[in-house]
Amino acid sequence: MATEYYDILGLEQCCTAEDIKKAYKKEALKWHPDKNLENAEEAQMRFRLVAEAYEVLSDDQKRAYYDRTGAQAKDIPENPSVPSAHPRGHPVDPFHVFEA
Amino acid sequence: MPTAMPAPTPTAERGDERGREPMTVSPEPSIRSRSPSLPPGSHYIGIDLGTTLLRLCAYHPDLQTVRFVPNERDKRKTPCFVAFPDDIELVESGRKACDPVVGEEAQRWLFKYPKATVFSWAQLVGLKFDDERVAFYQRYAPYRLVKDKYARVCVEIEHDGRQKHYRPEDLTAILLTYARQNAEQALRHPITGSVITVPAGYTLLQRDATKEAARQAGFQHARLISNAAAAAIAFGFDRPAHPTSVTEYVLSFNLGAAHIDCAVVGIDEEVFEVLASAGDVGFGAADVDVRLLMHFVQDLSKQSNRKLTSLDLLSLRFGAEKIKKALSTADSISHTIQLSSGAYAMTMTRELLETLCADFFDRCLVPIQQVLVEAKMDITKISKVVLSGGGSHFPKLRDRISSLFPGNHIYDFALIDKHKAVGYGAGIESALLSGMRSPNITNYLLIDSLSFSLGILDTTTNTIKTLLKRNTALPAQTTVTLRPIPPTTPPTSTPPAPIAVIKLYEGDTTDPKTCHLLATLSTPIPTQDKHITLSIDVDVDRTVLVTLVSDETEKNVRVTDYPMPVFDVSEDWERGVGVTVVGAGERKGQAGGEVEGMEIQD
Repeated sequence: MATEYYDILGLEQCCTAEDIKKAYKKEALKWHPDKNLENAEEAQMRFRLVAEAYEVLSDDQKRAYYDRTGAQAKDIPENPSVPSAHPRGHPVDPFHVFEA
Repeated sequence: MPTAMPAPTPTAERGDERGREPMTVSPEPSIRSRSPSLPPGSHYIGIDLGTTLLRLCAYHPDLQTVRFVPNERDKRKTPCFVAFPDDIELVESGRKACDPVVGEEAQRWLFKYPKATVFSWAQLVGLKFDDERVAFYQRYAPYRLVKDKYARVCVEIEHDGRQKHYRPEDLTAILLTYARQNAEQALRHPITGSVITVPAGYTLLQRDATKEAARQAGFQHARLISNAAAAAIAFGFDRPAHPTSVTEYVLSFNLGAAHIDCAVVGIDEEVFEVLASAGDVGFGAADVDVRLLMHFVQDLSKQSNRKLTSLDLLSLRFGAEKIKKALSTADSISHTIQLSSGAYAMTMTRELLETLCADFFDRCLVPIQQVLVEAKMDITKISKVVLSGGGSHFPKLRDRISSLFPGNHIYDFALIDKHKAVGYGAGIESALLSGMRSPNITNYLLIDSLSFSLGILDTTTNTIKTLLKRNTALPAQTTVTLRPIPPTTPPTSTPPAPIAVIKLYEGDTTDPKTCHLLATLSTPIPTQDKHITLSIDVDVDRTVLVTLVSDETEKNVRVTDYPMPVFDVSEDWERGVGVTVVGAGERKGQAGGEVEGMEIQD
């Protein structure tokens, strides 16, 4: 079971989408290079990990894919067709309003 | 008295010193540990660098707000004009013949020295002379545009009977020098850093040209943020109290004179994240002026004995700008423009203006739709639409945008002047980089993202393989393994050690012809079955560092060293050959240590 991305954000695997967002914000504020002017290089490395973890975990489909396979961010397809373990609604087509 | 400044060295002389092949920069050990920002306590200033106006803003930690810094004429905005008038009046005041004058002082010389007074050059930054837009701009610009030896567009100015060429960024540097001097005088301390707003659709090359201008102007560090992001920051500080646990998503739309900027920004307390951005560079509110100007020319052609001189076109252009502004509030305006053939009186209605510009409004909406799709954002999640930039106040445009969003979502700034929103955002960001600790910015952060995807050419398919997607949060990094493909026919003699040639592109399509070639990188491969590892690092300042590792050799190449070779009209430029492996000391395409190509391993 892959937990590395959860560990980076200090989360348990059973956390909610809201927990992920909060944890990302907290870690981003802590590690963004602009917030670490005297320690920019380490901060840059840490921030990239935080952003990578968030990129995967903030997307329901990617998160489900990661939970099953443990694949790294770059190896996860854009719209992984894995049955979602976290059914939290489907993406909405933003154009439905334009077409109305 | 005008401020006299030393003129920057003209282009031609500088071109030689700057290497034609910045990509082959030898790996410096310091390259990786380079810290982009200045030490805490350095003074930064926010600069709203528009096509027509510049505003300076500094954060005041005691007042906990941004203050707009006056120029030498005590004005909070400076017109983006640079002039090189050879005028006796200026010589008598002690100014050297080739010293530029800036701002209103430069605007004053427009009609006397039209060929030596430059304005609206921002849209030329990063263009090749052969770009079709250059010919279009030349039609309406009194100054002359020429081609330099790198095929870039330059402005030709005549001083003392001698022609000098200025790149657009040299003119920006003159303007920024003026801005820095004004700020240092007003704030009474040296300023070494800047936060400069640029169009969201600026490429890495255009961003680097702007950073180069800032460097020439004496700023040791320049952080570039988009106009749309800056306006969203202003919104975050202006909005009414918001439940702290809820992330608010806004669509920020900025219409400048020569750009459209659009971004979806997530705001969680004081953390601003650019989820997606898009823009149209070289197209903006000034295109409305051109529509009006063409309408006037057509109208005048119906009147006999009207001959238009180039100065008349200039008068019509600035008249059109005035009329456009007036019609943002009035339904109709009567205006008289003085021409060489006599006064031209006309009445213009908003209705006619909107008819002339019907397709203009359509084009304005394109990036809005693009960013919503890219941010995967359901339109009902957008709580507010933030409009900024002079052009965004057209009633028709407001109507069109508001009709896209259910309910009334257009935000009206309460505390901040809507014209100053972009400057305000730049001022807040400058406080962060200065390391200021003020209660209302303790938790402030802007997480910006990549504007265009970065990828390398896959020679097996002649398409670009994206390695870092656009809208990836910065700083970002990715690594890919490349495997040489052995030749199908065995070489006749012992092949020399092959070299991998890798082409790095910026752009959003897979077709190399429609993307920008950023760099051609090469590294030897000890044996043909060895893999090489390529990693791309993009830091918060969008400096791209490419590392190639093959066996024991490691090579770091910083890609966005200025000037980038995109303008280098070498033979490879149009051909777009990419990830191929060629024999050492041999030309591409010859037999020997050549292998078929490089395969990207997923």
